[in-house]
Amino acid sequence: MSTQWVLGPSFVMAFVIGLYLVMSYWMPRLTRPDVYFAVTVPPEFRDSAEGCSILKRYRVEVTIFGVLALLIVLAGMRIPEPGYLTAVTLTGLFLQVVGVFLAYYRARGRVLPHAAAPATVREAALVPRDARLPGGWVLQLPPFALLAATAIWLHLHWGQIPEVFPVHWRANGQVDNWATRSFAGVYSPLLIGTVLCALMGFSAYAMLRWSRLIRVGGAAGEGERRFRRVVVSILVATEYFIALVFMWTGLLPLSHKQTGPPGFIPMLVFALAFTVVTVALMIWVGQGGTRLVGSAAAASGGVAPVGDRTSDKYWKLGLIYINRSDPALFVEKRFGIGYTLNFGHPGVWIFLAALVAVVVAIIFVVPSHHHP
Amino acid sequence: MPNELPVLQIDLASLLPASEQIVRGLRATLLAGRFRPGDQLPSVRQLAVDLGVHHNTVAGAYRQLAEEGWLELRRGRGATVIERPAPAPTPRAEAEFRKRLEELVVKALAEGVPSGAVSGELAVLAAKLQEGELAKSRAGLMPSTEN
Repeated sequence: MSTQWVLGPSFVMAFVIGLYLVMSYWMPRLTRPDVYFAVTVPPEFRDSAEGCSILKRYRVEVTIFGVLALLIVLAGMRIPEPGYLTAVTLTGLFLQVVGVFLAYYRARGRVLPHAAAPATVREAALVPRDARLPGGWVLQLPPFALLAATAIWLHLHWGQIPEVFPVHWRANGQVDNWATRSFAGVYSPLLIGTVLCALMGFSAYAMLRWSRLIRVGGAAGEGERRFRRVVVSILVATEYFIALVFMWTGLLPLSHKQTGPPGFIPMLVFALAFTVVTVALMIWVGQGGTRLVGSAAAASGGVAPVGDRTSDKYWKLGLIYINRSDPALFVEKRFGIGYTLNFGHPGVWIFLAALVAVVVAIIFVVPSHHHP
Repeated sequence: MPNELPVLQIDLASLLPASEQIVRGLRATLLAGRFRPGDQLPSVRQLAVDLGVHHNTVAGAYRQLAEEGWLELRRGRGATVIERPAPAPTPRAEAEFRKRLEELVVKALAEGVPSGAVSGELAVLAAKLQEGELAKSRAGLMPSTEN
């Protein structure tokens, strides 16, 4: 048994927990200055004594849960049985997710009495929107071309693919799932990759087209436009990342290595580096580009706080937006960076239904793995 | 188009219907000469998303401005600004304007606004009108560069 394979998943999970701890610790300071723990407040509230006290308590709680989760995962490294190791590792992550939610929920409860009605003024630029993706449609082609080229390569080398080949490995590097040399067995990773790439590309386009700017003019408006470009660029980069991962997965049938997927470590390092860069970019811009222009510019807007120009009553727990009268498909997250769906829009449900249909179709296409 | 980005603002809490606010805001922007004939306005759906109103509200506003001769609406091409010759004022329109202005002045005086302040404001408005600045100040122009 390889030590590297036993410890690998635990280190990855410890890394994920550490990153999640950093993000959850800083998140209240990354959101809009007048949206605190998903509640619209006067912009000066978060720097008040009460605002700082709420933040301090929240940070203590998320740190405790993060460190606890980390200890559980690190302790799990001593467990030799991979099955238990996975269970313990997931328990650590689950504990952290629940802990962060509870800390958020308690903080939000303390902020709610200080809620302020957001400004009811909305503004729009009177020019047609530029909904071109970064790099245009030309930059959309390479991910699909990579997957198509992989499919052609597999077709040309069909004879070299074993009748049965490994597709999944346990934490100790031993194979626990296999696929047969069939159309579905060989090409299904590429099919899934294609669907995911299309999903990312469509999401990027939809965000450009069906999300609204909170501020249009001045530095705040410029910051928001840059923020939207950054978010959309990350989605396009994710498209490339997915294409590479599924190209690598798609080529596994040609590998005859039995102990662990070939090239796993470089792929893992690449994935972790991609995640770190993405998180760093998000922290740099802040929600809605507010950190690019400064809190004062982001919050200034008259007597009432601008907030995100949505009413608190349409937010469930400050996390889920449901507003039937809002034609926007995407709105800014209140506690997080980026956009979330408007679940009151029929189009969102049609999109989700289509997504589920695709997932179900893939499940039927992908052959059931067996142990030879 | 100049560097300044024309911006439309509406107040969802206003007693004035959103459609009427859009008509007034757009008309003021058009009067200010912010668009040239042939310029495209945002699509109905885009403006509805940006303002958070139903697309029928925006469509109704665009239709009214098209009926007034400001816009041309074509399926698939959206709203295009067109050349609009200044209409000849009718005696009825002038009488209506005079009547509403008098009512407004009387109401302000009745509410205690000093007559000097009223005449001062009227003088400022008259000066702005002479300089062509009145429509611009009503159009909600904001400096920016569009994406």
